[in-house]
Amino acid sequence: HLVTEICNISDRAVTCAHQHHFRSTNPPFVDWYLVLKVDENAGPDIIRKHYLRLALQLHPDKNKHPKADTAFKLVSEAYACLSDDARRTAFNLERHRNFCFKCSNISDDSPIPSNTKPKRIP
Amino acid sequence: MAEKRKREAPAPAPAPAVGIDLGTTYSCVGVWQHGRVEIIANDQGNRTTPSFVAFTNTGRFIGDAAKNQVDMNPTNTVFGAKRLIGRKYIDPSVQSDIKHWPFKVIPGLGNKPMIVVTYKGEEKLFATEEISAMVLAKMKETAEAYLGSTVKDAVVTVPAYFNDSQRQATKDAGVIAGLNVLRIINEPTAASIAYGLDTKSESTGEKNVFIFDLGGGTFDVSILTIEEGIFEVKATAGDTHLGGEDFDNTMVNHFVQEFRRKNNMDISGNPRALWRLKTACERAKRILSFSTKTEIEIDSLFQGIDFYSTISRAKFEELNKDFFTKCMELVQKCLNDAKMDKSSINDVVLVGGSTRIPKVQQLLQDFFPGKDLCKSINPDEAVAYGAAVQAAVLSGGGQEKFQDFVLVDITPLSLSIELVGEVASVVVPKNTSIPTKLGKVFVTSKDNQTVVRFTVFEGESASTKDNNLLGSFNLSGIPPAPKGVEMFDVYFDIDANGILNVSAVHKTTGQKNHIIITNDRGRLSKEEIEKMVLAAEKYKFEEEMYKKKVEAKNALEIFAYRMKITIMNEKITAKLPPADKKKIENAIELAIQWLDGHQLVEVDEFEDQMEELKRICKPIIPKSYKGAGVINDDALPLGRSSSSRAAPKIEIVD
Repeated sequence: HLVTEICNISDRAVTCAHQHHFRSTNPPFVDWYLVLKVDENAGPDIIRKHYLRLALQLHPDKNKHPKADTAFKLVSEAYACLSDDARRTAFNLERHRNFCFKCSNISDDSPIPSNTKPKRIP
Repeated sequence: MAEKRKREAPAPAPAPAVGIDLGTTYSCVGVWQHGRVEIIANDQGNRTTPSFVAFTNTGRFIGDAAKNQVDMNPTNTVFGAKRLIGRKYIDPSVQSDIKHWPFKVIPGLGNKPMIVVTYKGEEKLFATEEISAMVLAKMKETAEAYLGSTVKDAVVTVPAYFNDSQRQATKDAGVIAGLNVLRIINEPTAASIAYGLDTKSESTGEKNVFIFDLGGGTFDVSILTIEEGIFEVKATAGDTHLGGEDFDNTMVNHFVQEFRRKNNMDISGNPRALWRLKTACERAKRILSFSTKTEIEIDSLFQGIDFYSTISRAKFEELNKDFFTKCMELVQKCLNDAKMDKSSINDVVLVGGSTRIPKVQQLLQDFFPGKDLCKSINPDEAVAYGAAVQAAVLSGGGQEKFQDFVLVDITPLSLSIELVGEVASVVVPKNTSIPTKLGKVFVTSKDNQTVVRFTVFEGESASTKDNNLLGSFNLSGIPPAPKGVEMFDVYFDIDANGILNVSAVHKTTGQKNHIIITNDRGRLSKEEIEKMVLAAEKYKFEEEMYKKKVEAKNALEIFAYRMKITIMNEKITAKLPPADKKKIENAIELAIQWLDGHQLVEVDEFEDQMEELKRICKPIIPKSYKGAGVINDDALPLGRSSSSRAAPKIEIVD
C-alpha cells in the first residue's frame, strides 16, 4: 500500500557500517526525492505533478488508512522543500553529505543543518 | 441528553450533511442531493436568510421575521453577531461596531462581549455564540423541512482571516445549535470549490483562480490553484471588517449630516430613525448598481419631519472611495503573499453581494486587464454551494462524483513559539498546507535553567504581544547547564481538522511534554456550552408552544368565521329550527368575543372552545369540512392571507 510505502521511507533507518559520525538525536534524514518518487534532476513540473497525484491519494479526507495523515505530511514537506529553489539546493548538499559512497546509500546520521540556528526560549 | 436526541430522531436513515454559509448579514444552506447541490429556500421562500434574531414580549424570531420587525423593535433585534464572535469586548473593532448598533453590548466574564435584550419582559444576556447558534439552528430547520429528516452533520464556513478563537467559537455555536460540525472551512475556499466543480469539465491543466469575496460584513481575497481535482489555497488576505454594511453606514452618516444641515437636528441618537435610514440606504445602494441616480424618501423620519434626498452613483463611489482603495490594496497584498504576478491569474471570481457594485467590478477589471470577471455562480450562494460539496465529501456521500476531488487547506496565520523579549519565532509559516508536521530546534536562554516554558502564538507580527495567544506548557527536569547548551525539538502537528498539537522533546534526556490547542482563553467551557444547549432547547420548545398556540387560535378563529358565513347561507339553514339557528348564532358570536378577549392562552383552552363550538354547530358543518384549521383551496374563510395559501401565517404580535 502507498501509505505504508511512504511511511517506511522515513521510518527505515538506513543502515550503513561505514559512516559513524557522532550519534546525534537529530531526526533521521529523509530523502524527499524518494518520497515524491522523482529523480534528483526532475524539473518543477514533474515534482508538482507527482506531489498532486500523491496528495490526492493520501489526503486523510480521502484515504482512511490510519497512517494516511503521516504520509500526507511527508509528501507536503517533501514538496515544500523541493519546490523552493533555495531549500532544494541546501537539501541537495545535505543529501550528498549523507551519501555513503562505499555502499551507495544515504545514511540517517545527519549533523545539524547549518541554516537552522537553534533559537533561545525564555 | 444523548438519549433525548435519540428519541427525537424519527428517521432511521440519516439525513445528508449540509453546508452552511454563516454570514454577517445573510446565511445560506445547501445540500448535495441527486448528484448536485441544492440551495434550500427558507419558509419564506428565500434562498438566503438574514442573520438576525429578534426578541419580543411574545417570543423569539429568527431570519426574515426578525429583520422585518427591526424598525419596531431595534433595541431587541440582534444582527452582525459574526463581528463579535471569538473577540474581546475591548477589541477596537468591537468598540467601533457597538457605536453603530441599536442593541446593547456589555463586557461579560473574561471580557467576552454579551448581548443584552429584553425577552418576554425580562432582561436577558446572551453570548455571541448563542446568537450565532440561533441562526445556525434556523438554517438547520430550513434544511430539515426540505429533507424531511433530522440534520446532524454540517460544514460551516468562516472568513479566511478568522483566528483560532473565532473558529472555535463558531464551532461552539454549532454545538449549541445541535449540530455536529464536520469541518470549518474558509469561505473563499468554499466558493472556489463551487467554481471548480462548475468549470471542471472544461478545465485542463493548472489554473490560478483569484477569489474576490466582498460580502455584507467581511472581505476576503484568495488565490487558489486548481489542478486535476486538487484545490490548493496559495494565499489569503482580507479584512474581517469591510463589506456592504460599511457602505451603508457611510451613506447613513452622509444623510445624518444632510438632515442636520437642513433641519438643524441630530438624529444619530435615535435608533429607530437610524435603522429606517439604514434600510433606505441599503435599498439605494442596490439600485445604484444598475442605475446612476436614486432617491431616498422616508416619511416622518424624525419628530414628524419627512426626509427626501437623492444620491448619485458617483457620490456613492466617492463616499466609499477609501473602502474600494483598501480592497485593491488587499488584492495586491494577496498576490505578493502568493509570490505571483497578476498576469499569472487565469480567472477572477466574484463572490458576495457587494461585487455587484459597478465600481468594484471596474476596479478589478482595470487591475486584471483582459481577464473576464467570472460571475457564473450566484455570488450569494457560492459559499454555501462549496460547503455543501465539502460536507458530501467528508460524510462519504456522492463518492463517485468526488473521486478526483480533495481540498488541501492551509493555515491562515503563522504559528510561532515565544522567545526572550516577546519575539515570535515562526515554526509553521502562514499558508502551509495541512495536515502538516513541522519542527524547529530551540535552546535554553538562561544559565542553569531547569524549567522551560513553551508559549504558542498565532499571527503575523514579529512581536508576540500583537499576536493571539493559543496556549503554553512547561518542560521541567532539565539538567543545569550554561545557557544555549540544552536543546529541544519542538514540533507543530496539525491534522486535517486544523487541530494543533505542539510537542517539545529535550534532546539529551528525552523528557517531553505537549499541548493540544483548544484555546481556552475566552472560550466557552464545556459546562457553559451544555447550559446553552439546554437553553437553546428551551427556547425552541417555547417557540414551538407559541406556534401551537397561534395555530390553535387561528384554527378556532377560522372555524368560527366560517360557521358565521355558513349560518348566513339560507340553503343550509332552511331546514334548521329557528331556535337551533339562534343557538348556533349565539355560540359563534360568543366564540368570536371570547377570541377578542383572549390573545394567547393555553392550547387546551382554544381546543376546548373549538370542541364546544363544533358540537353546537354540528348540524351545519358541511361534510367536506374535514377538520379545524384545514384551509380548503376554494373558500378561504377570511380572505386575508390570499398571498400565501400555505399553512396559516404566524403574525408577529407586538
